[in-house]
Amino acid sequence: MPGRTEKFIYERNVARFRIAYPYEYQKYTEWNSKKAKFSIEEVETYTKKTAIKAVFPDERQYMLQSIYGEDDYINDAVDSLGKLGNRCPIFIVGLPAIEEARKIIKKCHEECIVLIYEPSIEVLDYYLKNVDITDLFGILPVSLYFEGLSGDKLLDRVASLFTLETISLFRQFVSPNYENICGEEVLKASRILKEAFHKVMSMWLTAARFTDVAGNNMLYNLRSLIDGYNVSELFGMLKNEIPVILVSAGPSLNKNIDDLKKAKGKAFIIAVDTAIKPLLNHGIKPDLFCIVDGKKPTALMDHPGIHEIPLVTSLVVASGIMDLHKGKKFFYACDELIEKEIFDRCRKETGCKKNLYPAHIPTGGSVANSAFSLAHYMGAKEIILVGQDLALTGGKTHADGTFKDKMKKITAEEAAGTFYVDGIHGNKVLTRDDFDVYRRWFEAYIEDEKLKNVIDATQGGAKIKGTKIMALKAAIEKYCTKKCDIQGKIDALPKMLDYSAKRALIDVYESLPEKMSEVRKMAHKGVSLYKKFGKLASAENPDEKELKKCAAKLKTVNDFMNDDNFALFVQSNMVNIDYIMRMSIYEEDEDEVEERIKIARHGQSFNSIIELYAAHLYFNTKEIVKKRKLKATKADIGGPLDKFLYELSKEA
Amino acid sequence: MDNMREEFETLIELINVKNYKAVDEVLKDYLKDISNYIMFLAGNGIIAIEELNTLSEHMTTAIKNKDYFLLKDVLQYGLLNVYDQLFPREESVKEEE
Repeated sequence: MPGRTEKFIYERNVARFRIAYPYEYQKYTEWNSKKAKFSIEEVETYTKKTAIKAVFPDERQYMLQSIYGEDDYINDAVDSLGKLGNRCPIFIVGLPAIEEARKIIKKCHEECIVLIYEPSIEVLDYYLKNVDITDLFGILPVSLYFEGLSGDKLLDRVASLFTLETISLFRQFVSPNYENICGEEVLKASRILKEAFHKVMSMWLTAARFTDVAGNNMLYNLRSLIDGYNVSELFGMLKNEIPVILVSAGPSLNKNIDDLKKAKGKAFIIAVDTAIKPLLNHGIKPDLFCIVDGKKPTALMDHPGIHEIPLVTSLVVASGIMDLHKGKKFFYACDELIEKEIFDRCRKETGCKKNLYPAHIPTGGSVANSAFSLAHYMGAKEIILVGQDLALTGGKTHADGTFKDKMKKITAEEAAGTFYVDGIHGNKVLTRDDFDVYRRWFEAYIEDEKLKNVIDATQGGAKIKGTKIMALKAAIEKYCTKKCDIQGKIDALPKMLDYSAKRALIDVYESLPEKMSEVRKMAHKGVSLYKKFGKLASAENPDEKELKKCAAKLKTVNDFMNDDNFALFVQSNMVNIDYIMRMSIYEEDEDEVEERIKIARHGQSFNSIIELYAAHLYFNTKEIVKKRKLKATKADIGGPLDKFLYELSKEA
Repeated sequence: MDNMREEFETLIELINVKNYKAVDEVLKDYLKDISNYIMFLAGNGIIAIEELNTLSEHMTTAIKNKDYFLLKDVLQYGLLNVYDQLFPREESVKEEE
């Protein structure tokens, strides 16, 4: 009996839907079918199966599945996607393409990642009631996103679909006539795909831009850890009692910079690196300043007053600035494996582990994003933004007194690719891609953390959703009313490393050349083994036993390259080359012999490059360790354990 | 009848490249031929009268709603498929020989 079957299908579907997507299921139950924009009707196909169409109240109708083609249509549709590589990411719009999805998954032997985006609740409702889709809820490698039910996370979901290795294998399929029944949503999906692609490539290009810059900076900056502090010591320091004024270097800073003098002693002032010189030149001393950039010019911070201001930094920032700044440094995690290695070793040796866990400060890419996270991390009562234009106010990128005493307006070439967004005064302001990404980060952060205490006192620039707009004078009068002295607390904070931890740091530091040499030797071994593997594979009658032996030895090399922190450090400094290698990593050859030869060639090239880089880093670290010696002296001794270890080291 | 394959393929290709304006233009010229062809199929018992009605209905619906997916479905899988069976392409005939 049809009624009974439909009820059975519905109950089974809903049972799985509820478990796999509880949030979406809840939203689905709240959906009022009376508000449906169209209805789904069934049409008998050529072979008496069922296809569906969407029918609108004005009698327009669109087929969503094939009537005559059926399996042939589905096969042709799947074939039109071309060769489907291992781990290929597939984006499908519309549940009517469910059979195509099943065929694709079968073709890939379930080694693919499928995201099905269903923009229409009407279609979802039909499928839940009439078609067994239980395999979509946790059995097949499919994830589902429903417009109107899944929140506003489509970009994140799409971006997580692919990585640099799989981006070239990406395929998409839109169910028939979806541009007619859900035109807006299909356009949105197309836009989001472009954005997600751009996000992945952008991350990679940023990494490429900083190829070996981050690595070199880290090696040069390691010595700063010895007298450093951990940013975790600042956590919650402001106890939601003290407002933070976050000073950025947008062009509008010049308009109200002097108003900041009224806030001194009544607010905690955090500056971004580029704002430090204009502030000091105006006689305003911030309480902290932040840096994130690995390539920032040293001249930006060249001011005699800079050493008095504690710096919040990481190991990968520009080494010139780290050397220039002689004051207190608070370190946040940079997620480099050598940093992890050092902290692990320090914790092992020390009696005081408390401040030896790398602390993360979320960032959106700009130093202002990091400083904002820091303000929240410290427990700011309010966060008042100054100089946060995120726009080309007056045609300039930054305030006067930053990169130049008088900043020039952007050129016609620089203006290409700019566009308009909403300004804080209800006007439209000109901005560019990177500023817009940072702005959207602020907005997402404010929304995710449900912040109600962010005031935008920037005198111009783009509107940041979620902030209250207020003149700086008024904001200071309203929020900066009580005297506060945090400097005393900061001055009293202990350094991160005690004597034992410093010894551990020195051990790791001094062992760097030896570690790089080890990586170089292993890579050299890899080159020889891959050469041998290639020779064996291309022989007329390959010796399978020898091939197996060779593969086992290669596994040791590859395991080392994938697990050893120093080997991974070397590879992370090869981003440009790594990009080319990784793009082709999942492209398979159908011929087994050709596939083996390709693996051998690829492996040989890759290990040759690792060998080269490791050799370069060996000489580099040898020079650094020799010229920038680290010492743990009597002055570093704290408690009795430190004293004992110091005496021991003297004897050694 | 000789040009039917070319006409079907032209329309299908235009739909594939989403040149719907051209589809509408070309369809005006080919519609009579397509109708004659459908009548030929029914008249010679290749398709039943009910199928003739269904085909015509789907064609009309597709044209009325500008449902190019349905139109292509009818042309490619409903009509061209049958045509290829009745009048195999020369290359495939040679292969069979």
